[in-house]
Amino acid sequence: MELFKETDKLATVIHKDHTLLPVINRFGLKLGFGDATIKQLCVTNGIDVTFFLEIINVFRNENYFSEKKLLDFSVVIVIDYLRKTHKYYLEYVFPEQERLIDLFLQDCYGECKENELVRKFYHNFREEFINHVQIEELRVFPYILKLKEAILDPLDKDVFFSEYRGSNIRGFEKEHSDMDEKMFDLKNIIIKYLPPNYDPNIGNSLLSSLFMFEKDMKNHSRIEDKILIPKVRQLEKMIGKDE
Amino acid sequence: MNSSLNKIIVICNSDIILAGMAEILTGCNSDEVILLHLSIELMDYPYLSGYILVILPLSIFEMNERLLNQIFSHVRKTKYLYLNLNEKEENSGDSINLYDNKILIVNKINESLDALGTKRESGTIDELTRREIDVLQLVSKGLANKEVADRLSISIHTVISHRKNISEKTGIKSASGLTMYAVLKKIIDLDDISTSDLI
Repeated sequence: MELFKETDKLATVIHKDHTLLPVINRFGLKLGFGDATIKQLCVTNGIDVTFFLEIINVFRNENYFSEKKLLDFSVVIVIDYLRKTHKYYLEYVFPEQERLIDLFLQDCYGECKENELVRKFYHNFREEFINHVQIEELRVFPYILKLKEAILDPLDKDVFFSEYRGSNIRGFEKEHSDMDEKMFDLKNIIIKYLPPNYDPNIGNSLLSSLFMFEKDMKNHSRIEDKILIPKVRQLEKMIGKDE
Repeated sequence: MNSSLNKIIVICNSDIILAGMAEILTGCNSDEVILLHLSIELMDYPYLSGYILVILPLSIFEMNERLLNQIFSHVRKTKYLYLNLNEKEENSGDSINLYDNKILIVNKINESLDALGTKRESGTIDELTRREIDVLQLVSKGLANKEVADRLSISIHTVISHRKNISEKTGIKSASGLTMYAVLKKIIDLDDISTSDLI
């Protein structure tokens, strides 16, 4: 698959893959950019152009990963992107999916008790997901940011060591595969097994939203597992915190 | 209907070989796989019927021939495939070698199953066998693999291999997803789980 370059027009990029829309929004970019290229837009909006390109290319091609390049980025910029992704899930995706599930069940005719299980399954998935996000926001990200500060300033280093004695990124790491599995199962159950006693158009909207979220979520996990965590290990080594 | 199904029984005193066979057998056209350490454990399966393919080292067969003949006396048809543990030994028509590649082993096993006369109809991929349904029923009520094994008097290997087959046939992997599948297919009752946290 072709890779996007900084000389590409962003409008062309979106025509080629509209699922990138929420991704560019996370960088603060909004539509109406005329014929501006990626580079021009990044410069005017204060975005690191290499990071932007890596993120959209990683999003588009599951197998693409120029790990070397990505490891050059500061953890600050990666965490900022991940936080915006979390915000997008919590403030937009989940409420939207809740709304679609309401509609989906509301239009159910006949025997609908079983269809209600979709809501229960989804709620449990969401709860687990939010829990994961909270651990990252409240514990993992602050740890990484303090680690980074500690490397720059010897004063911070003492504070860091007393605060995080005994912690390291390995202890925070959590498998993403559980949640990936559940999201796949939910889609597959609707596609293969749920009695189709609902409005098919609403069913399609719900499924599209789940597909899109799944893609976004996998991409998010890839960035954490392949960029953030190796980067943090590198920092831990620098400060002498690897066991 | 149950009696026309085929089963593969693997007997070998090595966990590594059993686990490896379980993995390879997921690619075979068998309805059920039973993994055992010792021939004597077959006594726990008094109701064996249908077509049975037994995979075991030749020495184990020779030592237990009488016992095996006795146990399989009510079975419609039995066939043995000998598992060769010595890398250098040549395969005969009814043996596989531990060092053969996976595709070769799968082909040989499928050929042996066909020879038993149990050629599988196509399109039955997501239909579960009776035993798989038993396992799914217990799993979807929240039982752990060990508990399922105890309840059905089978080994934990067998439970794991059933679960793998179930997931492959249904396309559902997570425990809560399987519970939902079981309700939708009326394998368990909605009331059994509606007040719990199984989904």
